[in-house]
Amino acid sequence: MESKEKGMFHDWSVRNIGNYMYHSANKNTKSYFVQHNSNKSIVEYGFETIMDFDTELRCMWERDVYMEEIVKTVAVSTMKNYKRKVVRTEKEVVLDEFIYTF
Amino acid sequence: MYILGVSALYHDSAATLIKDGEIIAAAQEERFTRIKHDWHMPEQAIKYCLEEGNITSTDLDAVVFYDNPLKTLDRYMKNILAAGEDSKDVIEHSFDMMFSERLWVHKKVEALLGINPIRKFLVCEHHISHAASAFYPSPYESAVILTLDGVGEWATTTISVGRKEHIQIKEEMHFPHSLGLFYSAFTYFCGFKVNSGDYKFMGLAPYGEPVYEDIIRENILDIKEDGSFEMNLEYFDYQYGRTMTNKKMEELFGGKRREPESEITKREMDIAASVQRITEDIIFRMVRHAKREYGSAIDNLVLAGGVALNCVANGKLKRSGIFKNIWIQPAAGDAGGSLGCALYAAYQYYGLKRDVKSGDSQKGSYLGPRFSHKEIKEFLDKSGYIYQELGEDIHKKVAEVLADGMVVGLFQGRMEFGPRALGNRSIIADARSESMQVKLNQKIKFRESFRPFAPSVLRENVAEYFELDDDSPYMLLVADVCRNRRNEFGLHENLKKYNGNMLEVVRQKRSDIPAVTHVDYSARIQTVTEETNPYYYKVIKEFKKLTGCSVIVNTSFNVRGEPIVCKPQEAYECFMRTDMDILVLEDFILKKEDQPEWKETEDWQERYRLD
Repeated sequence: MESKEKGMFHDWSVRNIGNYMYHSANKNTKSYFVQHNSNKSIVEYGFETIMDFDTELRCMWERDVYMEEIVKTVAVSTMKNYKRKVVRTEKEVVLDEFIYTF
Repeated sequence: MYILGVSALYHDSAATLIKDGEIIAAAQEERFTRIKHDWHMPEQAIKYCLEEGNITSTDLDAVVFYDNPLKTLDRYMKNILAAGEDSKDVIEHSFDMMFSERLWVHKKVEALLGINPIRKFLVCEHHISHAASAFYPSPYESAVILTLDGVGEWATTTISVGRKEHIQIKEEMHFPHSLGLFYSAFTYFCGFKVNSGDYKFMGLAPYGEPVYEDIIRENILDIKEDGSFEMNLEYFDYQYGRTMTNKKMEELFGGKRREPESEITKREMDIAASVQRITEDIIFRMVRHAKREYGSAIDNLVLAGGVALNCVANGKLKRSGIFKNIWIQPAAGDAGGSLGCALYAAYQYYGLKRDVKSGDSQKGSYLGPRFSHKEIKEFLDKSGYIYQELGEDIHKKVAEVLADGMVVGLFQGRMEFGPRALGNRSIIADARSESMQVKLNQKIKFRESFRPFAPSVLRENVAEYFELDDDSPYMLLVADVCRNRRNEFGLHENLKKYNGNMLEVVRQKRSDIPAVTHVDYSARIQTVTEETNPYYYKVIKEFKKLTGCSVIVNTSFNVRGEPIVCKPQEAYECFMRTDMDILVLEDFILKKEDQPEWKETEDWQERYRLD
């Protein structure tokens, strides 16, 4: 991914900070457990075109108005960055030893 | 119906093939590529699974990925929104992989298997994959399911109920609050690596005292009665794509994190003890809550997710009796997700009927490649290695050399699926030897002196040696050595006496099976039965005939940092590079002194960097 694209994501996050906060319950609550909110735990997956993917994103974020601004950037970046073939460079082969990958 | 499950693109990639709900084959990619925790698409593991099933990719009805990339993208994007100005590092560290690999997983699979419009490509939620891996292979018609790991898409913990073919998640906790990440953060703080050091950190805990427990509870965690919790994120940096903990954590614990490979001090021992105690408390609260809410008519608990590899907590759960029965997926980490998502597709997507077995359906977790007598003979002959072929006498011979104090590399049957070697790709030795723990750590595994070794014991004799009278076939339960076998041993007096030198401490004999008795008298037990592993059972049975002892040491067949051996060539290389005395490949036995001079062709210690 080009630095310019990374910069766009960063700028967006700075501009929109506060629109999303990690889930945090009232300390007086009895439980931090939340309900599972998906009824589709297994689904068909796949897209071919930017239009397909854009539709998927809009569907996923239809209730998150603050995501509207970034949909196009995400869709374009996804298309631009697809690597047909992974070349296993030395840098890529081994996971970072002290940064958790998730 | 053939379904291929795939886990990949994070860490510990793997593939599993199932046929009509039966597990045919499963293997981790690292075993083939020799890259520890290999994260790439499991090309070679898939190839192996298809070969084992005697099918080609055109026979597959579906391929299932163990994680939903879109939902993970949602977390990534919202995580940077929460971070704002601080999002730079997480974008730098994670976004390339997300946009170039994970979102394109369907194309990655196509590239490996070819385009097939009939074959479905499905994605399954990460924690459902874990839950399915724990429930479906278990011997239970119904069970409460607890999954605990770092993070899936959003979930970090789930409590579900499984009934026959159905799994329903009831409650969950979300990122960034995570027991797996909490544990990994302290693993990192104590100088161990985040993807491979958790079990070392757990092994360190008995050396310490939980003196930091209150500090952690007061400053870092808010734990509810039901085990759910929130973390004080001021002490952590993982959410920003940086190291697990930050400067504030160092201030709380009075100094910098331990440098990797530097001396382990009392502080690290005490932190490990404190974190282990809190982890157990959280798990116990969750399990009691799950029993109260969902288990009034269910006596069975199943577990998966990386935290379920915490065999100390598992052993205590077992003894607690909160649930009468417990089954833990042996490939509890992400590799096992490949198994879970395939089974979930079979039962919940395609509606197959589940056949519940009285034992379990995991087949001993011996799900990997096997090498035939002919293949091994050809390899040995071609290489010019010196061997004897013993046929049915092999078990007795192995027992004899064990009784003589020799260390044996044992390679037989199908490779294990999951992080534990269970007698098919194992280094074995005499558990009665006082010097064996130090010898194995220093001269064979090249690993830290404090680390304990696990016992394999005949199932029918387990209660004579350990405070456990139950099955533990996957080495996932810890129990104490029986009191009548213990020696007087004061851990903290010894630590003081030897100025914290753990090497000297572990030299002190703690029981009549010292090589497998940890400093708190605990042991991570594997029970062995004739039905599940007849070869290994016969070896231990013959050892018992010779010595009266039904217990041997079992450690994985590798050196520190190396994936467990998969092929005969790798077994031979490991044998020659270490102080192992004997190599056994099925019914072939090789003595070190008979072998031609070993010439290294690579810097293997550089290749297998310390884990």
